Amino acid sequence: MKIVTVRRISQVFFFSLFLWFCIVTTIGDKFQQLRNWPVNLFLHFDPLAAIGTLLTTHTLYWPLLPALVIIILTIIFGRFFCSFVCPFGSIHHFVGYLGSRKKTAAQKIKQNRYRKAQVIKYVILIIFLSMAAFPMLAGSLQTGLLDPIPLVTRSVNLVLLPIADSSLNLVSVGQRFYEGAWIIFIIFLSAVLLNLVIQRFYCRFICPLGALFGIISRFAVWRIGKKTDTCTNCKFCEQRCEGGCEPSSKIRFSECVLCFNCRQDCKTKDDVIRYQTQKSLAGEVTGPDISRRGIVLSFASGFFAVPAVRLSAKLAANWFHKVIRPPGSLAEPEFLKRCIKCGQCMRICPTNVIQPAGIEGGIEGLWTPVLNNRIGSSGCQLNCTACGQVCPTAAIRPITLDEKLGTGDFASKGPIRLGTAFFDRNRCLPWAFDKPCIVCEENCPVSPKAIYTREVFSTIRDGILTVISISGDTMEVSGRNLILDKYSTGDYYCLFEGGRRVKILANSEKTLTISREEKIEKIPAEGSKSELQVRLQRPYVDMERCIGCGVCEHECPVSGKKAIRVSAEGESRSRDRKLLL
Amino acid sequence: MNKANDNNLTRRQFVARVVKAGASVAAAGIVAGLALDKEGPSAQAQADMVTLPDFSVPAQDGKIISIVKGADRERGVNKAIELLGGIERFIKPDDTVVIKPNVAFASIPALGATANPQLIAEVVRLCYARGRARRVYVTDNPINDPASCFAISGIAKAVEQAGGILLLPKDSSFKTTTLAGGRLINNWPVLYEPLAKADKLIGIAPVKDHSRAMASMSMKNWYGLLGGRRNVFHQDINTIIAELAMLVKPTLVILDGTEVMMTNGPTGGSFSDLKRKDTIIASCDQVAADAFGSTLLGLRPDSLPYLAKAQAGGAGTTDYMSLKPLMADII
Amino acid sequence: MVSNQGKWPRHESVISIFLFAVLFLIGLVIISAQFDFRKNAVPAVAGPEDIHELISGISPAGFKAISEIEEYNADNLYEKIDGKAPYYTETGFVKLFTRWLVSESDENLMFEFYVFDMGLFANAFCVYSTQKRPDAQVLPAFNPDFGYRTENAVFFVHGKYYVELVGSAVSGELLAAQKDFAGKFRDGLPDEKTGMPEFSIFVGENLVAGSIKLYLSAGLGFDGFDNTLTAVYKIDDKETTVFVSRRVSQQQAKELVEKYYEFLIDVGGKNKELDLPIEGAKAVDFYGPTEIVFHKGNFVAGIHEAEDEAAAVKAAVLLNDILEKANHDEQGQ
Repeated sequence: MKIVTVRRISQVFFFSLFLWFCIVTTIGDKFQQLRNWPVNLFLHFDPLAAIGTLLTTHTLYWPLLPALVIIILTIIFGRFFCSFVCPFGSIHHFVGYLGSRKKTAAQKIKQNRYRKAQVIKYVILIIFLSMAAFPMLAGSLQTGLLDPIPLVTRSVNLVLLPIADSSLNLVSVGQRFYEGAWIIFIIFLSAVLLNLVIQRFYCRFICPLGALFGIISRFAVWRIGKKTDTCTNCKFCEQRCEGGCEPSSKIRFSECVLCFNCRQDCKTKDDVIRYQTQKSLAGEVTGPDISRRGIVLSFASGFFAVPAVRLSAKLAANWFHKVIRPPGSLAEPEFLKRCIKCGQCMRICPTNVIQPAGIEGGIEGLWTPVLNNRIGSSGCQLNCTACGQVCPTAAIRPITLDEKLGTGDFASKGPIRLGTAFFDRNRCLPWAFDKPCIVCEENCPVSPKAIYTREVFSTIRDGILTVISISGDTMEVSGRNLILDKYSTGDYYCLFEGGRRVKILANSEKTLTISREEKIEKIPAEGSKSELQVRLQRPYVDMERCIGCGVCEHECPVSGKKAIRVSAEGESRSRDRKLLL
Repeated sequence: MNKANDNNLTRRQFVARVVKAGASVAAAGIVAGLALDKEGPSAQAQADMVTLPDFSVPAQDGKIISIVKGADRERGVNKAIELLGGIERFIKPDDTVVIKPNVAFASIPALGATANPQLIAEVVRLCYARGRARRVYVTDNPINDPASCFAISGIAKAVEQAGGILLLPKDSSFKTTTLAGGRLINNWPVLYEPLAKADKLIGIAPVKDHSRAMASMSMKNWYGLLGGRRNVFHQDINTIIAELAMLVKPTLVILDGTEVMMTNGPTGGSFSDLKRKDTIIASCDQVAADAFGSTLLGLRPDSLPYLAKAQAGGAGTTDYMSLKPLMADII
Repeated sequence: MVSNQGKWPRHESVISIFLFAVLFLIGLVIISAQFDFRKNAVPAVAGPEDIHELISGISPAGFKAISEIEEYNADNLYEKIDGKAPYYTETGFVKLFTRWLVSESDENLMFEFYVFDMGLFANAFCVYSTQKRPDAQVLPAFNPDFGYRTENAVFFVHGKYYVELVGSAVSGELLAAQKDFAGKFRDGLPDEKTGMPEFSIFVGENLVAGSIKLYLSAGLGFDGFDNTLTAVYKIDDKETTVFVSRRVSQQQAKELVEKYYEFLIDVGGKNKELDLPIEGAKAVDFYGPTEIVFHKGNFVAGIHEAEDEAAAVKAAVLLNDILEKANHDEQGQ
């Protein structure tokens, strides 16, 4: 079996595995649902996530320990991950292959020459790491923006799958929505299409994970190189070179992604190109082509970037009230040290309420999870802790249901609050429009409810009627045109002079039928006035019970700008944002 | 020959590389092992938990609280401290003293919303001259902007003239603390940096009416040590004041009832809000001091719920008479 | 595509195959890992308690289990209870759990519990109430409508579960253990709703406690009486059985009254003229005892096998008033 065959099998294997994991990340017990599939496998094996969180938190969260395996194997063998495992890399490899099929040998060789711009990925890596490296001053984990594993996970889960599944509905019952998905889509599409210009464009120029591998593989025991000096300089080895590492001359070792295509393509009889322990006979360029000045400049950029960004006070007094994080999230500065923007929480949330943030909460929060209660099926489900279970770095802690609901061991602490709901009395139907409605109260899931009502009787517009006559339970009135049956809903009352209030059961254009329960002792005099009133239950939020789950906001019938909206004040994860003691 | 040399060279290179690779692997493993976190992050970042030191001096029966009547603050405070045994009882030579006055507002001294600058300066001088303190700091975490508060209240100038050192609060000056058994002061930031270097702590506060708490005196004065969004505690003002009294154990409190803000506290605004009561209280028991102070406001100690709570929490006694207050009159 | 000219070295093949094997192993590990999950322990969303776990965890003081928990579904229920199985399977039966518990001090004292998961409270209550033993005694700590005991056994309904604790002897120690089990079972499922709104129809001091029964099919022997409640009232010291069945509409109720009347006549009853102040009521002399049937709103109601005619009339009037009020309450909503 040729090594390139194994490599291709490996690429197909890991890509299919990755895709399968994306598909099954849905709550459920069926084979094609979550069960115990290790859906975070790729993220947990991602060294950039491990090193990034190690720098920001000074700890290695134990599920990220498998990344050490990849690091050790890379130290020993080189950048095998890029060619054998990385699902994003496989996409690039394949599209690049498609794009260069019609090209001549000479064109391909030219396309694969080393370019100085390949140093950009090292600059990106250094900037990310220096942003993360000083948590005391201001650590921020932004590796997730360009780290290929979170990037491809995000792109597939939040863009490709929802599009593909929108008509098939195999993966999820309804259409999934994700705000701002178009940006993720454009980035993904650009990265993929750029392979038609230069093969493995992303891998060569942008990928910080590849840069990391390039650096740590410096002392690899085995490396690609020329074994004998019978090379004819035909440069065929560079026709399908994936890394742009120039194996035909002084091989740029940190760029080699171990695709083994050069070995495969070498036309000499005695296999000049080998994977060997000796250095290449034609010489090696071991390190990336970055000067000391370049390193310092990159470092400085990252180092100053975070404090510069934090001048916006978005992590201080100027925090944005709509950044409502999933239950179990750490306080904001801690959260931003861990979130790798992989989108798993958004993918698994059964109500589709977790959305990728834009920059309104601060630029560091791009693509971090925030709740948008208008989207999805119902706000944050009371008995669900899925997001915390699936977060690979514990930016959202894997809380138990007891902790979320404030029961059992957590009874003294109380439930986790995501925020508090606030009524907009200018929009709420019973408050502003004299229309009965208590959908919010009905749907409030906590017990006792966090929304309560106070009964108010309000005379409707032009609601003064004159009693003409009354017989039995029917009253003939004048004063306004009554629409047939409009007042039969059980919400309307008649207020007579003297203060008696009686429920209206039905009405015609001229008469009102009053409830038989109330016997009108004194028949209102002819000509006396009565007021047509609507009984309203005006809702209030009980701040001590509200957990900010957003079901009320979701159900509110004022569907444009909701009349009750959740805001992050009172969230339990932040001491600063407490509303209550 | 060359080939042999070449082989040796390549072999040496190879070995060197293997060693370096091995060292990298080992380093990676060690770092991972040291940093390994099996439990994951906890809900609240337990950052820099501190405990406030106990600044009190040994009690002397009958020398716990003194009440001096007189119009002159400087003479009055001197007399009050003298009655308790003199400043030397409290400040030892080479001590670092922190004075925490009420500098809550950027308000002119005459309005009585902040502690009197001359009174503070006199205490600073006493600490240096008679107490032989090494350094006397004056600090507070005001409600309004610190620099303006210290400036407009006249306290900055007075302190500097007396040789004291002003400490304005910075973000890094705060550390979190928890009051054992407290409900509200739980993982809350306090102005710790000055206290960390202090041997003795003296509180200086005017007697004021307070719209929410009914009175603001020496116990409420410690509110100025709280950081974070402390105004949330106004929802349970009596409990927070009581917990502050349990949290902070000062050497001495000086309660200035010379010109008492009888109404419209805590900011006042009109001179007519003030009434002359010409009284200065020095006390080792802040609850007793406030209990007596309430009478200057025309209240009774039992009408201030936080006094009872503080007493129940062991911060002192509201029965100031039982402490045999030392009285004096200076004309 | 340019391919290698000669053969590739053997060691490359070995390594390649080794790598391929590694991939294969990884695949196997992953597939086997995802089988390893407990169906009810999907960590994300919490559901109702696993009843299996609950009942295996209940240990009455001084008693221990001497068998594994046996589980039966609708297909193999007959293996446990033979001919009785259709009675359950036709009433919504889902699962049966049984187990033997024995006293640690006396090996002759034991009881077997039967926990029937009937899917719905109505089903569970139906099988509970229609099997109620005539020698039923009060079961302490249980509402008399939902639990009773006999000399050696305890029976109760809780939510969708019908539970029988069948003891091997008449013994105080055994009874204590059975009561303990019953209490723990009930407390272990606090979210199960035990009760139906229709029970509120049967009020009044004359109601004999624990007499409510629910027939889900063929109540009183008549096919049309599915979903029929019966209860016993003591009127003039005579126990009289009343029955109530809510139908979909007034029209249907009226029709059912006619049908039942005709059924009674068909099987040999004779029409009876009674002075009933109830509109459209029919009375039948059924080989001695009196049957009365009438409708009120959507309800079909009546008296069944009443020995004493006067008591039957009184009961009918009482029932009529109760239903009148029930209808009224509903409309006033």
